[in-house]
Parts: sequence; C-alpha cells; structure tokens
Amino acid sequence: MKNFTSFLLLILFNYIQCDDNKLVVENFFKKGHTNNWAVLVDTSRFWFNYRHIANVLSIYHSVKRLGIPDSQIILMLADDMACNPRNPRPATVFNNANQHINVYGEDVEVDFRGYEVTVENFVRLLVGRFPEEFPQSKKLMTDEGSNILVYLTGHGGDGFLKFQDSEEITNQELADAFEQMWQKRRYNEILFMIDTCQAASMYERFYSPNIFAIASSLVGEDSLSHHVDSSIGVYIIDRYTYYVLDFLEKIHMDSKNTLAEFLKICPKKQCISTVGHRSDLFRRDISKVPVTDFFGSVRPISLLWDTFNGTISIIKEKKLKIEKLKTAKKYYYVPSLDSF
Amino acid sequence: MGLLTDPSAEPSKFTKILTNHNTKINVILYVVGAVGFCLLAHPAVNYRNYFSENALLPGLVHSEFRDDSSAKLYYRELLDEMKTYDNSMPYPWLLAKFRQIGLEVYIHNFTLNYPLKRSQKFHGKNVYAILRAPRAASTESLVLSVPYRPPLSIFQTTAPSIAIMIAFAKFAAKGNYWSKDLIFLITDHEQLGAQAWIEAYYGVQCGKEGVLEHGDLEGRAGSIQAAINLELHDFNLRNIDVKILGLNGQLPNLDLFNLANKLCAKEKIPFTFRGRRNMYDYRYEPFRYWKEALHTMMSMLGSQMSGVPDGNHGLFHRVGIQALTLEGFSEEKGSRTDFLVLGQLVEHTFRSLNNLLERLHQSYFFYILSDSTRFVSIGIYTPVLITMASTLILKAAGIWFTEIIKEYEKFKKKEDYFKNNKIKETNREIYEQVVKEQASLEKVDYVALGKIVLMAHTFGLLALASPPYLLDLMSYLGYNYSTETTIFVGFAIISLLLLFFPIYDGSVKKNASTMKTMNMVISLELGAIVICLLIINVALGVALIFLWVPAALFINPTENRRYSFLQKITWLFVHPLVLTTVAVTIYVVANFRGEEFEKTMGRSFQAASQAIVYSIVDSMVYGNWFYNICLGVFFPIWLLFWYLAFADLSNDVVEAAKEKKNK
Repeated sequence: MKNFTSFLLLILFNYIQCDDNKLVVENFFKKGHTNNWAVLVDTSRFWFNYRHIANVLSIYHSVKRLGIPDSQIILMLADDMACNPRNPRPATVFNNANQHINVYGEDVEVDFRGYEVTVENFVRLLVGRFPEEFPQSKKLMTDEGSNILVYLTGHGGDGFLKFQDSEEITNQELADAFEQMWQKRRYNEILFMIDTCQAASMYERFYSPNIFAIASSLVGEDSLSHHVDSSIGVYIIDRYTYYVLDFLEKIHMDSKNTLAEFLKICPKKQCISTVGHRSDLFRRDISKVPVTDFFGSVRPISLLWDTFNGTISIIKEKKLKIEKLKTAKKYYYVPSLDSF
Repeated sequence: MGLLTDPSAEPSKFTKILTNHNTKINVILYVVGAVGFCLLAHPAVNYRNYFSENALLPGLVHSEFRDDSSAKLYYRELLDEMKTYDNSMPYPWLLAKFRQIGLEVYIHNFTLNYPLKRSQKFHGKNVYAILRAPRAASTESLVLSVPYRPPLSIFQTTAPSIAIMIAFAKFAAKGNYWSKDLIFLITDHEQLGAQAWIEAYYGVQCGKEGVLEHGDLEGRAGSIQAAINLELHDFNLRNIDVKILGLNGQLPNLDLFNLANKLCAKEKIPFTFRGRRNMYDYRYEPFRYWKEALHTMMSMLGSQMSGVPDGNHGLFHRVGIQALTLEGFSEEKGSRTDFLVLGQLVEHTFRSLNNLLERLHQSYFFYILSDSTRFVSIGIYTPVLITMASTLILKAAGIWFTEIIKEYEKFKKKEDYFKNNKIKETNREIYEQVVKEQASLEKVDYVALGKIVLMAHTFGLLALASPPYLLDLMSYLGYNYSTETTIFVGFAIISLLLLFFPIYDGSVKKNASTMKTMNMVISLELGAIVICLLIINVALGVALIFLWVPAALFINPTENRRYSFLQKITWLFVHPLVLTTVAVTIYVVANFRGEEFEKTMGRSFQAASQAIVYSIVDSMVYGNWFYNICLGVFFPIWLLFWYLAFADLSNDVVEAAKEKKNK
C-alpha cells in the first residue's frame, strides 16, 4: 500500500514537473524575440546638465540588473561629469541626493563618450552603417529577433533633440532611421523612451511597425528635474526618469508587470509634465506585454534533452503544439530578394 | 537744390504734410516720446529680472563656510596693523596671511605721472594672491577684489571686506571643486590701482601713453571670467547696495546683477540698487510705485552719464569682464548679518560663478534698472528715445522739402506765365536770364558754409587739447593759481572769446538759403550723434535729448528780433560749461543746505572746477571719453547753433539785390 501510494505520488510529481517544464518552455517560445539590446543616450554636455548623465547611467544599471549584458548595451555619454573639476566628489556620479549609489562606480562600459556622441554616430549606430574596422563592441549587432530599448535624454524642442551644443536630430530623421532598421531587419520590436522637453514631438513621425514610444512630456510642455543635491550643487535627476527608476527597482527578471502598468508611472501630479505614449504602431496588447521584454533579456537557455530520458516524448509533443500558438497579428518579414 | 531731385515733379502728400505741419509734428513726437519715457518705469512696460544663463545654478549648493571665527580674528589683527600704517597698506601682514593659507602672493608696482603737472609722480602697490584650481588647467579665473582704504582715506573703511576676503581664501583653499583660479586682489589708491592691475594683466594701455605706467605682473592666472568687488564697511550691515555703473556707461551683464540679487535674498540681506528699494506694491499703489521707479531710473542715468565708474568693478567692463561691486552699509542695532553670513554670500557667489562655462553673455548688456528687481530693456527704451531724437531729423527733412516745394512752385509759375502770355522766343530768353540771375543770388554758398563748420570743429579740437598749454601759460606768466582754477578760468575765457564767433563773415549770415542749409546740416549732425550715443551710453543720449534737442529745435533763423533774442538766451544756457556749473551748483546746494550764499557759491565754483579737472584726468588715465566728446563734438555743435542764432534775415540779400535792380 505504502509502495502504491509512493508510486502515485511519483507519477503526480512527475506530472507536475512535466507541466512546469512545459510552462517554462512555452513562455520561452512565446516571446517573439530571441535577444535584447539597449541603446542609452545622453545627448547633452556641460556641468549644469549633470542630471542627464545621471538619468542614463541609472537606466543603464537597471537594464543591466535585469539581465542585458554589457555587450548588448550601447551607452553614449556626451560629457564626463565624474572628472569635471566642478564635481566636489571626484570620480562619482550620483542619481539621488542621498548619494547611496555611485552610478559611475565599477562596471560601467561607455561605448561613445564626449564628442563621439554625434547625430551621425547615433544614426550610423541605429542603421548599422559603420565601417568594417569599427570595433565590434560599439556596434548595434541586432537581427530580426532583437527587442531594442532606445532611451534618449537631453535638451529637446518641438521636433528635435539637441546633441552636444552644436547639432540636433529631428523627429523625421529619427523616424527614417527606424524605418531603415526595419527594412534591414534589424529589430523585432522597439521600446522608444525619451526624457526631454516636448519629448512627444520626437515620436510623432514614426511610421515603422512594432515600435512602442513613451515620452516624458507632450508638445509644449517642459520636462522638469526632480531634486537638487545641495552638496554637489546640481539638479541630480529628472522627474520622469526618477519615477521610472522607482518602478524598475521593484522589477526582477521574472516579474510579470506589463507595459500598461509602466505607462501609469509618473502621473501629472508627480511629473508636472504629461507622460505621452504612442501605441498605434505596436501590434501587441500592452496589457499583456511584460516590461522585461525590453528592460530584461531573454536568458540563454539550453535544453539538455538527454537528461529527460523518460519524458522527452511529452515535451516534443508540446513543442509541436506551441508552434501553432504564435500570435497572428504580428508583422513578418517577406522573403528577401536574393532568394529568387 | 535740384541736384538730386526733379524740380518738375509734384511733391507728394507726405512731403506737403511734413513741411506744412513740421513744428506741430515735432512737438507731438517729442511730447509723445517724453510721456513714453516716463512710462518706462511702469511694470506694464518693463520686465522682472530673470536668469538667462543656465550654467550659473545660483545658490543650489549647500554652504560650507563656517570659519567666521578666523574672519573675526583677521579683522582684529588688521585693525591693529592699520594703526601703524597711516597712509599705506600693511603689506607684510597681508603677504604673510596669504602665504600662511598657501597661496601664491605677489606685489604689483605702478606709477602715475600726473598728466597735468609734469614731474609729479605717484607710486602705488597692489597685493594679489592666486589660488590655483586643483583639478583644472589654469585657463580661466575669477577675481575677488577689495580697494584698500588706509585710516587717512576720505572714504569709508573696507577693512571688514579684507577680513572676509582672507577668511574666504582660507576656506576656498580647501575646496577641490574649483574649475577656475581665484585671484584675490587688494588695490591701492582706489580705482587707479585697479586700472593699473587690469592694464598690467592684459598688457594694454587704455589712457594716454606715458600717464599710467602699469608695470608688469609676476604671476598670472587664466582669462578672467568675472569679478566681484567688495566694499563692505562693516560686518553688521543694514543693506547691500549693488553698484554696476562702469567706465563710459558700460554695464555688466544683467545675469551678474541677478545673481547678486538672488544670493542676497537667499542670505536674507536687504538688497538695494542706488540705495533705493521700491517699497510700494504696484498693484495697490501704482502711482507711488511708478514715481519711485522713475526716480531710481533717473538716479541711475544721472550717474551713468559722466561715464565715471562708481567702483573698481567699472574698469573691468572695458576688457570684457563682467563685474560689480557689493557695498555694505553698517548698522549698529538689529543687523541680520555677521561674518558668517557675509562669508557665505561670497562663497555662494563664487561657487555659482565657478559653474560658468563661458563668460556671461546670455542676458542683457544694455538696460535701465527701474528697481532692484525690474529693468527696462534696450528694445523698449530705444524706440521711445529715438522718437524724441528723430524730431531733429524731421526738422532737417522739413527744411529740405520746403526748398523742393519752392523750386517746384517757381517752375510751375514760370511755365504758367509762358503759357498764359505766349511770350516770343527772344523775350523768353531774356526772362530766363533774369530768373537765373536771381537764382544765383539765392544760391547756397557751400564754401562759406564748409568753412564755418570746419572752423567750429577746429575750435572744439583746440579747446580739447588746450589744458596742458593753459597750465604752461599760467606758469610762464608767473601766476600761481591752482590747476583747477587755471583750467576753469581758461575754459571760461575760451568760451567767452568764442561767443564772438558769429562776427565772422557777415555776408553769409544774411544769405537765407545758406543759413537754412546750415540749419539742416547741423540738425542732422546733432540728430545722428544723439542716436549713436543712445546705443553707446544711453544716459548721455538721454541727457542730450532732454537738454539739447528741444533747444536745438527752437533755434531757427528768424526776422523777429525778440524771438531771435530768446533763442540766443536759451542756447547760451545749454552751453556745456554753463550746464556743468549749474549741475554742480544744484548738487552743492542740495547737499549743503542752509549755508551762506557766498560760501555756497565758492563751494560750487570749487566743485565745478574740480569736476572739469577730474574729467580731463579721467580721459587721460582711464580713457573716459566724456571730456573728449564734450569738447570735441558737443562744443562745435554748440558753436554752430550759436552762429545760426545770429542769422540776419531782416535784411535779405535777395531782397536787397532786387531793390537795387528795381532802382
């Protein structure tokens, strides 16, 4: 009897285990993307723009914590606040007046810094038109399975974002760059985030599919800073980014929080500006898309078939089933011309 | 006439209105402009001060200055040291203090060869210390300066400022956040020391060659971005007054003024401009507010006019350094300030300037302050003032178009005459010859006119260069009067002699067309100068607009003797020397009330003669062009109008010739 019970339990356990495996694998294949990238750009220089550097570095640390490796993060910083002679805390950048975390501490890989941060380099990065000899680590080596998080911060106006103190990228140029990326099969989906004044103007012209865009302010509004660090003597972080970080802090790799929740961050009461978004190009239901699709990374899982001896057939069956489950509404690539 | 215009063309409606109603138009424009000018003080027209420069980050940083005890100590030590140096600086003490802090200290020697007396020399020594920015290249620097005033100085002491400066230097030497070198400058002989130091820093000579020998500096920092001059007379202050007037009426960038304003507010120190602060709220007491604001405006313009800086800061402006003076007036009881607050004010100011990325350039350079928190921008006051100044141009245009219309009428009359009378060709020739002869009599005598204009300007230039020769003449004659008296009397004699300038060439004065052309030319000249001055030194432009423009409009050649006499009296009153004397007398009377008449007159004579000598010396030492423009430009124009007032139209040459012919 005892044997029988234990046999039953074993079957039950096996069944549960199988079910669990099934779920994991199902989720794995449900994701439309196979890899994650992040492009994080600070476009403004000068000491009084300390907060923009802090914004970008904070987002950098968040996405890194959520699993995107440094090799898949392109970080552009237009100035070096840590080494600015005005910085009373040399070699540090903080994102909070409490100075808990030095976001410029260890483990920061900056891909483009100082005067390398130009409109030309940014567009070349997006569309992948760097010369052959350009370092591989600085290239955005995405493919048709890549989900990309693009985060921009700096000073913007209606229809443009200022780079350094000399040039600007217009919303049309940015939209064209994304279109070129789409045509070159450089992404699966893009989450475009921008924290500047009149930020919403930057996504107005987008026309390529599978882009979800969020902006810290609508056209005609200013995005404001959150607070001052009076020991450093600068505005230390922007409002929208501050509340984004507040949200991301509670997210971990397996969190189920969706983009719909992400949109609720920073209501007008907190932000003073209105957070805008554009979802018409995005084909999925945002209330079902987890934020980790963009902020996190697809973890490289290798299925070790041979350890599963007895149950392998079940998995194979399930796998066949899963293939039919792919969402119908998504865009797909047409075969390229060279297959004629 | 008729050189550039077609006499047969009918004048347009506009020209007719301009000529027929010239006086009316001018009076209306002038009055409208004057009313507009007074309204500039109203908050509906001017702006509240605001920051344009993002980089300043004013007062964001937490103050770390706590060392008021050493400031007090320095103050006591300095007072002790000063007792042993009646009329010079306690150099060893100052050098030792800066060295103790660990700064580079240098002494800067300079010499002034007094320009009006050869062989008279003054020597001076400035002390300055440089704090090198620890983590930046020495490419930029900031200046904190204090004029040193020995116990015998007639000005209020600045010893507390020096104590605060050294205490701040001690504090700043520990800071690792300086992006610019800090220069601590203690100047000798008030503005002279500051001028010599700036000239030596940049290796330039601003005044006359060989007057101020600026010497050389042993140590330099980077290019100076901004300068703050401290004149705190005490550490218990009633208020801090910000002085901004610079050499030749230049002003610092408005952002620097705003910075001082904001930081004083942060430290809760009452802040005034020209000793005034508008206590009225314009929402509840608009008239009182407006009156007060207008008073502040006029007070600023009145001081700005002469182009003499009201502090050491004013000399920095010419080399493109934005600078101002913080002057603190003491109060015995109930003062909110002490060494700690003042040290923090200096700290905040310099931490904020330290954030600058380039020289202050974002905000206004040309403005009139109507309050310590409001200003009138150049874009608002210029149209108003040009409306007033344009009356001179319109007067000239009126004269020009009158001639053209006359020409046209003559032409038309002639044509009508021919048409109506159907005169034979031969007769017509004779007629035209008669007309031509008449016209030649009415012709403008350009040569004579040119001669008069040239002579007037030459007289002006000669008078401009005369002071050293006047002094030489005086010593040659063996009289022993003071420089001031000599020059004042000399100028008075020159002016009196030149009152007889209109005697020259009686025939020109009787030529109506030449006089009209002269009226036009000199009105244009004055108009152009006034409008140029509005851009260079608005205060001087405003003074001309209120004093000279109405008088110049009034002067027109006339046959009416009483009217002509009135013109001469008016114009005599606006003679530069008369105006200077009257202005100084009013000032003296206002300041020394209740004195005997003779004593007051003596005092005002002395003050006026001193004012003239100061302006001459200023032009030679600092390159102040007030004296030069007064004698080189205003005086000739005065002479020309004076000549015009003597135009004799009662006995017109044309009429005389006609009469002669008739006989």
